[in-house]
Amino acid sequence: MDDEMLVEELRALGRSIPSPDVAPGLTAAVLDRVALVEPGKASRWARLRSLWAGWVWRGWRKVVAVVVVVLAGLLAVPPVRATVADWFGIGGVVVRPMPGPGPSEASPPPTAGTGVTLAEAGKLAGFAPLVPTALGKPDGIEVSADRRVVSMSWGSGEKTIRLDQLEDRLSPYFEKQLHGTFELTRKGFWFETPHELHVVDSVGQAHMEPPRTAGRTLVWKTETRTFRLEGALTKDRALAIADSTG
Amino acid sequence: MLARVRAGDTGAYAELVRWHAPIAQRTAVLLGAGADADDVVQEAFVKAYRGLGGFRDGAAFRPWLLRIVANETKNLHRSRVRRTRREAAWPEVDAVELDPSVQALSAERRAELLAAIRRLSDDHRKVVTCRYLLDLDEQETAEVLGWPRGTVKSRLSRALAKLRVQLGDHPVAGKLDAGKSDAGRSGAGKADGGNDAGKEVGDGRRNAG
Repeated sequence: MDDEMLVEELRALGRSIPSPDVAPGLTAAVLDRVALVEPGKASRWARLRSLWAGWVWRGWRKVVAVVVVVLAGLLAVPPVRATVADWFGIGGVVVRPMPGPGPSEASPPPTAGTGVTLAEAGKLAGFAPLVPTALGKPDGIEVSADRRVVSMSWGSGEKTIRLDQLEDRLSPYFEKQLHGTFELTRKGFWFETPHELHVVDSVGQAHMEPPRTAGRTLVWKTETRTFRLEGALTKDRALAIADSTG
Repeated sequence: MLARVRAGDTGAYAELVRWHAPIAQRTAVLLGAGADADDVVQEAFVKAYRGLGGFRDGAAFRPWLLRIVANETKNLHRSRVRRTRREAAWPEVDAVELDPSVQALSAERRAELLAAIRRLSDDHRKVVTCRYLLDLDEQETAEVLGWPRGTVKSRLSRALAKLRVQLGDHPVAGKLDAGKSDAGRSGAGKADGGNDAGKEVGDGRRNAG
């Protein structure tokens, strides 16, 4: 057998190992233990070592503080002790099951802007965006403000189809708050029911865009990239589009 | 977020904990913390908080945190070794406990893979765990394990070669065809080889501890 096949099998094995439960009292226990300590104050050595980092940091702090204040006003911060054991993710998307009934309908996804070409978008994001041949040339292409996501859209109004792709697998980018269920397809996860979509930054803070209700969506990933296809789609059509993407 | 934490906002740190706890827990378990994974993760978050002053601004928080988790797991192994000489570092993942909804592999194939991974040396098992089971990229793997990237590359390639040799005698029992096959639900094989864990310790290069 070749390496590629073996690697794919190992990845599949990894995906099939269930995520262990996080201790329910973890957050509270950590907070109790750090309550009397200032962050970053471990030892004299650590303080000395971080002195330089501190100098660099202070230069940025004012800028960051302004941004944080603005963002804090936009956000509803979820409860501190929310359970996390039942979260799961695929690539840059994390799914958080929610209790109770969810939104009953979703608006079509927003169309992408037309300001950049495919090549320019690739340059900005640092990777070459893939275009599904099943959809042809996109009507709109845009790059997120933080340059992590390239989005494309086809059509408009009720018929809009939108494809988001990102390479950053280090931290989730989208958080889906799901009240219903989802389906594991041969390609990835298929979400049939409307759900809330949040955009999050690299440390897990929801940011910049207000959450919106997303409709039917297929999320899949390759070795380095996560794709999120949303819009007026049946599952089969979404899968066909996914198959035609690179 | 980090600005708020550094300013003493523990609520912001709670958010960070909430967000990163699942991957931290998964890393601790897969690197072999076993029943102590909860303690390892709690300790790692406390140490991360105390160490935030040394956290390079603009760096990614997650690999940094996972590095602490990996170190805590290693410390745990050291104290276990002191106590009981040696315990298997690989978690007791059993093929029958794997998630049957991930249908990419047959139960039999999972058991084979698990057994083969168990037979790897510590370093090879770690690199395969981080790179493929946890699905970190090469740079993240290097950061989490504290090895140069070149070492990650070479150990990974040797680990794959060893796995290939181990698995080479067997036909591929489950085809990678998620969603179409119901192989995941058919008779689950039992992982074996657990007792062999660590028997090849020492055959990996130790040039970058």
